[in-house]
Amino acid sequence: MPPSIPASATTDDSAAPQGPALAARLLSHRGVVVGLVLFGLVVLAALTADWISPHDPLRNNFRYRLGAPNDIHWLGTDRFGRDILSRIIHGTRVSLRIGLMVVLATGVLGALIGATAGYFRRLDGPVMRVMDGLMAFPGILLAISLAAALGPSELNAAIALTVAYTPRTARIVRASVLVVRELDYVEAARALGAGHGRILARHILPNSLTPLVVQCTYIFALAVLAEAVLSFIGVGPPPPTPSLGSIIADGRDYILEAPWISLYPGIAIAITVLGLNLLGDGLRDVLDPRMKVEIR
Amino acid sequence: MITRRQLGAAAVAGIGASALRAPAIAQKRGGEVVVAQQAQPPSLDAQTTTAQASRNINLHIYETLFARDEAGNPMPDLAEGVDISADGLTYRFALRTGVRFHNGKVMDATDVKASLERYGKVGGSAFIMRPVDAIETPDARTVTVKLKEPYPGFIAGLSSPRAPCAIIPADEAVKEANRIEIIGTGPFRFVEYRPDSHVRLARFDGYTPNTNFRERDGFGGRKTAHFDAITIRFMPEAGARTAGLQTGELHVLEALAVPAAQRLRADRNIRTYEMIPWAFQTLMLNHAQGPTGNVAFRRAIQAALDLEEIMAISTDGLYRMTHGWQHPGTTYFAGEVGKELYNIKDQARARALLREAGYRNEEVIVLADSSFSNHKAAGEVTAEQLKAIGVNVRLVVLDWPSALNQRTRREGWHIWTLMLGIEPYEGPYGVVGFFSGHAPVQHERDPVIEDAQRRLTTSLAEADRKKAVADFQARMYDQAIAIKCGDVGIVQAARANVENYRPYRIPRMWDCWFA
Amino acid sequence: MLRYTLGRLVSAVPVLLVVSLVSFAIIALVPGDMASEMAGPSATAEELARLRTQLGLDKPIVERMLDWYAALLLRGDLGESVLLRQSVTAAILERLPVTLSLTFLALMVAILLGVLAGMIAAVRPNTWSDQGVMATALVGLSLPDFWLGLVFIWIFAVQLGWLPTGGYVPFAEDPLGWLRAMAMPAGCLALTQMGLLARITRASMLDVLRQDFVRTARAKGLPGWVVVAKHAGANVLVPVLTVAGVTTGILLGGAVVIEQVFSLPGVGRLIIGAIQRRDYPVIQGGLLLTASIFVAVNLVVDLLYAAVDPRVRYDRR
Repeated sequence: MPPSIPASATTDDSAAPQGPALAARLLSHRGVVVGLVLFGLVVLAALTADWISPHDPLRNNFRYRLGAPNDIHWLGTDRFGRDILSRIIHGTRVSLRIGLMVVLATGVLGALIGATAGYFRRLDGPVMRVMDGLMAFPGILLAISLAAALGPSELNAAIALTVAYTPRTARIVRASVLVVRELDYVEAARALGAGHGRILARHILPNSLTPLVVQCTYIFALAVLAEAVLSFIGVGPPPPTPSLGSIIADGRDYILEAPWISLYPGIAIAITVLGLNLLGDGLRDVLDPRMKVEIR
Repeated sequence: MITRRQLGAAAVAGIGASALRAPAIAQKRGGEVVVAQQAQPPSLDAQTTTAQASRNINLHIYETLFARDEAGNPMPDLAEGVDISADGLTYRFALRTGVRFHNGKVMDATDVKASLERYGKVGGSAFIMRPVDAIETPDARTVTVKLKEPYPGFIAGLSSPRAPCAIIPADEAVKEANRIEIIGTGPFRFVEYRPDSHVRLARFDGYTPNTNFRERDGFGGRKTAHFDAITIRFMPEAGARTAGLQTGELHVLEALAVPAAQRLRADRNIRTYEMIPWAFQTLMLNHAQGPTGNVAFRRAIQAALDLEEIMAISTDGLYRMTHGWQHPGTTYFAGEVGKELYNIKDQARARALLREAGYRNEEVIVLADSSFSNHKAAGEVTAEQLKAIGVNVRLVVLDWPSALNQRTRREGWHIWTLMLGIEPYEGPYGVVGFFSGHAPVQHERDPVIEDAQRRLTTSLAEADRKKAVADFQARMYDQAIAIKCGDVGIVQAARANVENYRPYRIPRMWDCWFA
Repeated sequence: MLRYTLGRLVSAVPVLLVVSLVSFAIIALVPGDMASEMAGPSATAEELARLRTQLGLDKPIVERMLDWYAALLLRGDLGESVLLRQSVTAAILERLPVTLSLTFLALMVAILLGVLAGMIAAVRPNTWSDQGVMATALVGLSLPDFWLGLVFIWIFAVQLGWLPTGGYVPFAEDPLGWLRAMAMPAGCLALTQMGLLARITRASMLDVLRQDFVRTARAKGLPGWVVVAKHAGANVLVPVLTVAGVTTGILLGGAVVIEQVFSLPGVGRLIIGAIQRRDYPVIQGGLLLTASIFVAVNLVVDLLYAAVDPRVRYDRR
């Protein structure tokens, strides 16, 4: 079981700014701004892919295979003669979609599992042992094994990554729930006869949200990286729809002759992940200045 | 009585330009040659595995009664020859004398008998032993195989490198698959196997060369080991293999990516050796269910596909557009049969055939695997082309074992991309066998192909067998049983200081040496 | 301390149980098996069935699972790999030095670079040098490691010809060769993981530098670097140690992929290969062992942590 660095949960609301003040604080944070711009660019590319792609990403042209970058194909072509730039633009869709699915699933599952474990003491032991067990695998190895077992598809890649990363969110939520549940106003609510569900939903979960949101940003980044690894090993989302990882994987055999195939999608991944990391760091700085180091 | 040695006629399959280069420089002994291949061998028990990764190594260690010559025709190797009775039921093999195993023991008839019997149990092509009634050893250097029924493909099977019917010591032959000590009679002996890293072989100094021949010939002939040792490294990344050849860490590559070969053509330290035809690229069709069960739909696919696009992309440009289900120039090549239906690229006709088939947008699954990049690329191109004529295609890409597992089922796939390499090299038996018998790849037996297969495997007259193969090919096209896309080539490569190298089905490390 | 140690050891047992159950679940889910890999593309359903019986693959998963636990608990036996002609234990032990030395070297480089970067950043917080260093670290953290590996091969092996493209040389045989073989893979892993260490170093340094005793030292007129080295250094150790534990886990995961890129015969490549070949005993044994190493590393880290900071023993289980 990896060390649970005291991810000191926020307790009092006064520390974290809210509403317009929060927005202002965030926007004055340089990391957040840069992160937003980088990640925003990628999101924009994904949303407008159909309009901004110079070519059809699936269009083969066997007369122009492994073409070097030129006026028509700015980032070159792959072994099928497909336009790399268009594939990267479309590839961001799949990568972001997987990232989003993983974030939503790990966020929700992590909150449920973590809250259950933190709030109901009797369940704490067994539930967290299972989480520890899952966390005992290097995350990527577990994801590769699961993706291989489930078969290559976008959804299965997301499921595999969710299983690998949910223990992280669960631990973080649990840690903050453990702190919050002992606080006076929760005790008070309990004394007033509020049910478990109400206490969890109204008092405990909202207070665990901050570290969860920060963690989810990092998980998004991890998922984008991990998708690439899954594709590289051959268990990622299948063709024809390109993902950033699958474009790199398609180019691996040509890394010396046509390095542009793998080089540029790698940079696209780096931009996406860098944006998310900057965003995560910024969110952490602003929302919870005292949170020390999150487990990544 | 049939002759001792049937030399293949004119077949030139697989001989590159360099083949004719005479060894001008004196032969030199010594040195350790490093060969790289992508995959690691699933087994070094030669009899049991059909994997190319194993074959590359095993055929340096083991030998067979009959081998294949440069043109792919059977030739005697551990046997002096064979006498086949007129009724085709008795095969009398005379063994070469004084052949030693790597453990020092001299090979005799009991070893051969035990090896053949083992092959019938664990062999990768065990079916070739099915017609065998009894194996007798009248004396130490004679083995007689009696068949229940005539089987003219017997020598072809025995000599095939697909899953070689290796002769191993009788003591080993009693062992189960993959439990043997690795002992053969070949020019190199096994030293060590480090999974995921390398296999090391050393020259077998007690090797008994086959003095019936003057020089190496295919997998047989007179073999001379010059290198002290061979290290065969397993390197999964193509880029790393190419880079290793460039830097001189590696001396020989089993296969060099075609674009890399083009780039390195100017490099004076490296020689590249093209081999074409190396394999068929095919699309297998499932007749058991779905639209591909309907011959009109299959003909629509046949009419629609631009096979040249499939070939150009999946082979990176090293291909030949040939329609035959046997390689041109080989004994059973059937000429023009079926050619009028090959690569017609007629979309209007395809759409008409789709209407005739009553196709109503049912899903068609194209099955490919990610382990062989040609398979995946061929699947992607096929899927895109079929979408263009209005077929509702779903491309499913699994890893190799999963794809193999899927294709043995009647459902879950309609079109499966597969390269057939060793089967066409073997001759007609494996290719026709693929589509016939109790488990044909298309899952529904076709009476005409069954009949052709029966005639091929039992007719004693070669003309009848050739006719059977021609009938098979005609039926393949007429009923669009499966699609032959074209012939795939490969490039083998070696450092320029590897002298007298000649490309073949495996990178042969005998009869070549360091300059 | 002893009680704490024992407690932590005992708590590892259920974790490993979960690990073994998960690896069985994976095997139960995975389509295709070793038989189809061995028999090849032209094998018929009957031939496959025969091979499956020979290999014992036709037994129900629960039965195989019970057999496996029995062998493991009674004889410490992880089974045998038919494909590798080796016991799983031997196969893993043979690969372990590769993975461990790769992980270790990568960790050392990552700590060295990370701590150095973190210190440089912390000494002049919020300046150009701070932001430059931290941005570099963050970029490293954002790169796919296998991609970096491919780029490295292109630069260092092909263009410059400095380093071999792959393969492993045992340290005992040729230390320099080992270093050359490991330089690129370990460098790749270290570059993608030093970011975390740089950050924690910077954060803890900043904490320490704000504290009174450091201010006092500075007020006494000691030069900045001396203060950093004498006082801050030691106090940064604990968080760095903790993060090193986490990093080791990530590096073990990263090694799985990097071994593939650089043709290193390590545990990661063993497991990936086993998944691809459906070599069930190796998948199980490999996953169990990797998880055990991970658990052990974290156990050691926790114990070190507890030794350094006694409060930990009481508020953590």
